[in-house]
Amino acid sequence: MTTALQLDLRAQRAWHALAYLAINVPITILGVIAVIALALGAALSMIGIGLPLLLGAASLCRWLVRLDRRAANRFLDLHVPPVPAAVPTTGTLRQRSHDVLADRALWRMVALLATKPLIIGVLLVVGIVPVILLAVILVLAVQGVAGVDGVDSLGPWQLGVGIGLVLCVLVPAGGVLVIATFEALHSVLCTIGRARLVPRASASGPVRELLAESLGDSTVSIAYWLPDRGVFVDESGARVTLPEPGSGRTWTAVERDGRRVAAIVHDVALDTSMELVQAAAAASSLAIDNERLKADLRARVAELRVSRQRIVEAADDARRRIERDLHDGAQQQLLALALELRVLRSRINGHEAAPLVDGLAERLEVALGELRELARGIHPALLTQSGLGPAVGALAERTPVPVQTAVAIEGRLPAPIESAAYFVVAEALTNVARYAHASQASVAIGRDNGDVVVVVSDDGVGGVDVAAGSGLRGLQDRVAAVDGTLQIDSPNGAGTTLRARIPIPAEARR
Amino acid sequence: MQGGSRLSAWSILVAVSALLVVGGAVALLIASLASSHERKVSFAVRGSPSGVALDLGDGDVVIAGGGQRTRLDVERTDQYAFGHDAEVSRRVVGGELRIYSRCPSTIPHGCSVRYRLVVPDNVPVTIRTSGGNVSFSDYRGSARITTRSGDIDIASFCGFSLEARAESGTITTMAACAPQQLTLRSTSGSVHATVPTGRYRIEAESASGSHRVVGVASAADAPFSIQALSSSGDVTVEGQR
Repeated sequence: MTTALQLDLRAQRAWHALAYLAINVPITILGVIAVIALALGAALSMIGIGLPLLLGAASLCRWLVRLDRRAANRFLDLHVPPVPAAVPTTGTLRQRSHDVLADRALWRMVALLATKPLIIGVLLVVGIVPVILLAVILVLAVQGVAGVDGVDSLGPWQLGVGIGLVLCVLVPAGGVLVIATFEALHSVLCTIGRARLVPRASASGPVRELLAESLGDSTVSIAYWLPDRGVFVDESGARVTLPEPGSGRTWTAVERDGRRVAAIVHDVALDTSMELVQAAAAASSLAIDNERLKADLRARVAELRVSRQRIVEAADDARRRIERDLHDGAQQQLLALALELRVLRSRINGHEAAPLVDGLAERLEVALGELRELARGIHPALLTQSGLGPAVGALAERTPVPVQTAVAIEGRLPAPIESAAYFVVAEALTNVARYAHASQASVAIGRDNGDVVVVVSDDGVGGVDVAAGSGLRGLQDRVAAVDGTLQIDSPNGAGTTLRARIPIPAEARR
Repeated sequence: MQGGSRLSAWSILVAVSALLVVGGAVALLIASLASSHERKVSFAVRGSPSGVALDLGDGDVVIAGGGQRTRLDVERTDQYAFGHDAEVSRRVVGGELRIYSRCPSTIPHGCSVRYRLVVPDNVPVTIRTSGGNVSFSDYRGSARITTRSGDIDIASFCGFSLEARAESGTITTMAACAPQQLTLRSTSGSVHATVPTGRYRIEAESASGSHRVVGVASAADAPFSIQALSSSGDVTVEGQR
């Protein structure tokens, strides 16, 4: 009977739901206080005096969410990863308040705590109804059977031994309802907890969390072995060096089918024995191997990104070098030749060869112009020397249709970004001149949230097809190589707008 | 466990339990509402009694001033279910009319009693309730009221002394003429007294609530005295023309 009903399992789940709810009552109350204190501290930090309150409230929030997480892991088996640590703050009070308030993780915690009263309140009310019913039945049954003074009648009947016995029969039914309600609450709590507590894209794998739980060391980390490169990497694919002996940390190798898979990095002074670490490592080797494959993939993606950037940079360097060589070599030679021709022309004034020399000088002039144009197309010297504004201005002047330019960039940008932006404008204006039949065009370059935004638009015929020409495809690849995006909006007959957004790497800002 | 189409033993057990417990509770509630019955009883006591004493438990009471007439009217409204009506006794002891009334303790709770008395001038009234609300209108005479959670609301009072005590109920009095002795005490409820403007011996205090005296002058040698006290409720004494 008991096995068919799985009563012990259900009772345990109901008990866990009750325990989680009970722990959440103080968490909810303190959470409301913490959120109010945080708001107060944030308001006071505007005038520069709220920092102690702000820091206190933030650490209370963090502590409460940590407690909630432990309760959820203990009672709901949710495997919530650890709560991120506080961001370290330094500098002036204002700067520190700003740093605390800019922490995204803190705001997630605040949202979690602020919505807790409603959720916990509703679930408590739902849970308490059958408990009250059971309590009433129990009290009435005892009063009826024992004949204790209290309630005189239940409905139409006097409360006596007979009614008391009937109520005694109903007590188990009430108990079943209580268990069923709390069991249902358990799954509701699990669903809600999974949606609210477990981050969408967990930075560290669940395997790490499991190991941390079973080993009792929250600082446990896993280094995955990439055999083809012979290095250890972390979950995101970044390289990891294993701790040296004597550094207070040590590592345990994880092997699967006789090959090395990963290393578990943990405290030397772990509470548990080495055998347990070995056992945990062996038990989780399959999961760790899966995580390792993911880490391998991430490492490869990161490498690809870097190598693509390197290729573009190398190509830019080569272009710059060729341009410089042309400028210093062939161009100078031709200029010297033109000068000598002019000297020769003045000497043979009136001679019959004079028109011949004139013709030569003209052809030399054309050749020089073509060479200059070629060098500019390879890599404009103006961009290297004076930056984006003057280079784009020169591009606009050479375009046959009138171009309005607005470049709102102060100072210089990193060279790869400057040249990417420049080539976007150059390619777009070339297209305007060649295909668009436009009467005018405009170029706007500005900064938006730390990104460089380049917008080139014209009033021409539109209908640009990215797939058709290699120019725009190449441009897209070029912008993508510096992590940017390129949007082309070109409806038939309504002009073309080309919009590139290129992020400036954080270390290059300011 | 069994296959998907057949209900598991557990869900059958839960359904049967819910039917028994919830169904039983709902059936009781519906039956209680269906058998609910209201009854009005009224009688008169002729030849003014020397006093009225009411002990009403959770019953509400309204006292209306009867002026110069020589009879006392009592109107009782009973509401009850399953025929379990309130236990009522009525006696006259030494010229004092004593009424006692208690609802039986039933589940679900379906019994209530309301009293309405028209009391001639200068017949003193003593009322004791636990959860019942007490309200007076246009009564002239002396009154002593004690409640637990019931509220006390007295309008247009005119008489020698008024003593009102409550535990968690609120006390609101409006005296049309200056009473010789006004004693209002509540443990956790608020106390609000409105009296004609003038000089009074005033003792208005609250241990943890606010206390406020407006529009009346406090004087130690005044003939009329007001005592308005509360432990945790707000206390207000207000003078009004």
